[in-house]
Amino acid sequence: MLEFVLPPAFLMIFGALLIGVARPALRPLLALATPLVTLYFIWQVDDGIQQTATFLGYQIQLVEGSALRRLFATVFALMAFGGVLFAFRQSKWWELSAALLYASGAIGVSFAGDLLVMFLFWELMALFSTVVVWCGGTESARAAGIRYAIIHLVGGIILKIGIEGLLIQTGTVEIRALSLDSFATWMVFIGVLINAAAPPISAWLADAYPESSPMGGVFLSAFTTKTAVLSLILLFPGQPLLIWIGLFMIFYGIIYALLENDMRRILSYSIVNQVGFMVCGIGIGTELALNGAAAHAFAHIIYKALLFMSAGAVLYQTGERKCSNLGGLFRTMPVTTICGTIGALAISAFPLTSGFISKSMINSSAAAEHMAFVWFALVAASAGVFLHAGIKFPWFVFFQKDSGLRPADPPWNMQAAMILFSVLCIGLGVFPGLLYSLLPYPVDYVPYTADHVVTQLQLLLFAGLAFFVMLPMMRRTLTISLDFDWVYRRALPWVVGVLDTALGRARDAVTRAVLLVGANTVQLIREKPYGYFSSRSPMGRTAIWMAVLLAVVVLLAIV
Amino acid sequence: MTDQHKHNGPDHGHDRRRETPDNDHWLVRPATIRKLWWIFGAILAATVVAQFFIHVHGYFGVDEWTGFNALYGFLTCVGMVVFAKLLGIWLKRPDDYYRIEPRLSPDIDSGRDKRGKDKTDQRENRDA
Repeated sequence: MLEFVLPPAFLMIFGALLIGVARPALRPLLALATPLVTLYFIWQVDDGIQQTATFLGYQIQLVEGSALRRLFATVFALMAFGGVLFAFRQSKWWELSAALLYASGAIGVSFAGDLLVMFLFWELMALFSTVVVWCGGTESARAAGIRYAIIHLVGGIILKIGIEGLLIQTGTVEIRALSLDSFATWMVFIGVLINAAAPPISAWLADAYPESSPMGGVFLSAFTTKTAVLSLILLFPGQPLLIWIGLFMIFYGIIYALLENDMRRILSYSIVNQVGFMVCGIGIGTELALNGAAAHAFAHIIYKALLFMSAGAVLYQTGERKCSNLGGLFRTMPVTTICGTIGALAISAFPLTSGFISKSMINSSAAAEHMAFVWFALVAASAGVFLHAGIKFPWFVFFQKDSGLRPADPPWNMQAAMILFSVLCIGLGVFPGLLYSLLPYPVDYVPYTADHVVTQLQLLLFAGLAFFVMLPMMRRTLTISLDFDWVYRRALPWVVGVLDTALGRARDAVTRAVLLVGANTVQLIREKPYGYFSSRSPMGRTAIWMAVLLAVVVLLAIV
Repeated sequence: MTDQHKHNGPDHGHDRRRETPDNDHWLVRPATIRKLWWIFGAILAATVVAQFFIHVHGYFGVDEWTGFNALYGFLTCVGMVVFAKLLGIWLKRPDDYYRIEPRLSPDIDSGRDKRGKDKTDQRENRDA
């Protein structure tokens, strides 16, 4: 064990920057090696505070290890590797570099010992995820990136206000469980929740992610929301409000995904849905629930990346992103179809996939706490996941009516990445001990009992039946659905426009009035020059004034 | 009409050729689909029948009933689809709803509206 611990995030930042200055031939090698080397150093971090530094006069804790932190950092590094493997022959080097810097922000947050360090890496993520959105290269990607950046910078400011408040009130910004009893902790809570895509600010996710490049979406799906989940586990475990926020996110994701036509936007809504399960588990707050939230985050990152890869492969090969233009691709894209379907089964928590062993922990924790309403809602939502992502995505993209598109499977590196993550999805599902041994609390949960498997299969298969029965009601239309972003994309500009017009009119009116009064005065003076001093009234005002003047002169002479 | 939305990076090898849709792949033939429905139905029945042999440990009473998960899964999904459909009436918009036509500059483009007209007048006056 090295005496000096290199912060894993710094290592990845270094690797990402090196890509820029390296010779083009070396770039893919660097991009692939950086996450793996980082992964090695992640596993060298021991429990407890490992490294402190002085920053702007504060003692900050750069690296703090624990099982939970290593778990998240591990999956972030794995994700970075899989993403680079998927992208390295197609992406420009700056997209790879930005994606790795984005991942390094996530790993930095994972190991942050205090809120100052967390904030710094938090902003690093905001910055480079925006760059990844911009790498989409289209006009709509540019605009979506700006909206995305504004939301996250505002979220960052809210978080910063909370951190400063905590620093003043308590004198410490160490990361520990907080309770919502002061303005400052509320600000931290809101700041973190904005990154988790919690209501009402959920729209940024489905607005920005689908505008990225086919490769960029894979990276975007993983880091921002899941670092927010980790932060919630560390800062607000067992906060009951999170249960309701989580349930809202779960059903929001399902309903909007059911309405959606853009394949990557369907997957984006289902990120909100899945993060909702984790947030709900954090709200329940028992050891089983927190284990479940952490395990679900791990499993989710892998199968959601896999789904984004298969959607990215379709987009890359066909240039089409709308379900209404896709369909029948299983004929010529067998590998993508199989991998996408495995991802879809995993997100639906089918037995023998990673989703089954992680999501059921959250559901069981609600049952164990006798939260009847929460449990029934979670079970309904589990069926709903199969409906909106598990069947809808593969059905409309790979099956349904034939679109006539005959694209081949994507280049080998994309296929390799998809196969790697498919193997992980199945592997974790078949050998749950692999994941359970990494969890923060000891696990005595057994996912594979006969009754659990049977009830889960009943639930999912009958949800599948519902899908095909209701298929006529789910015909794809060329539409989008209004969301909260309508407020800042339409309502606020409209209000500002109305105010601007009104103020402009008012200014014009004032200008006109002033000019009118002035012009009239001048006209009055010009047209009636004798009106005042030379009027022909009997005495004549001039005569009176002359008399007054004379009187004054006489008086002065006497005095 | 979807051209603006398409991903048009410089080096993407899109293959946009569309062939006439075929309905003769073995997987999409009506006979196969009929068979698939039968198999699907059999599996559905099997999952419910299995509950006669496996005791389901429930937490709330209701969830121990035979076929509870089947019925609950089916009904909640139908409910969600219908709810989404109803919400869609209110929330759905054409997919170019947010698209704003690109404008070169307010001076050139806003000749139509009232304040733009003022500007045009000024420009003409200056020219004269």
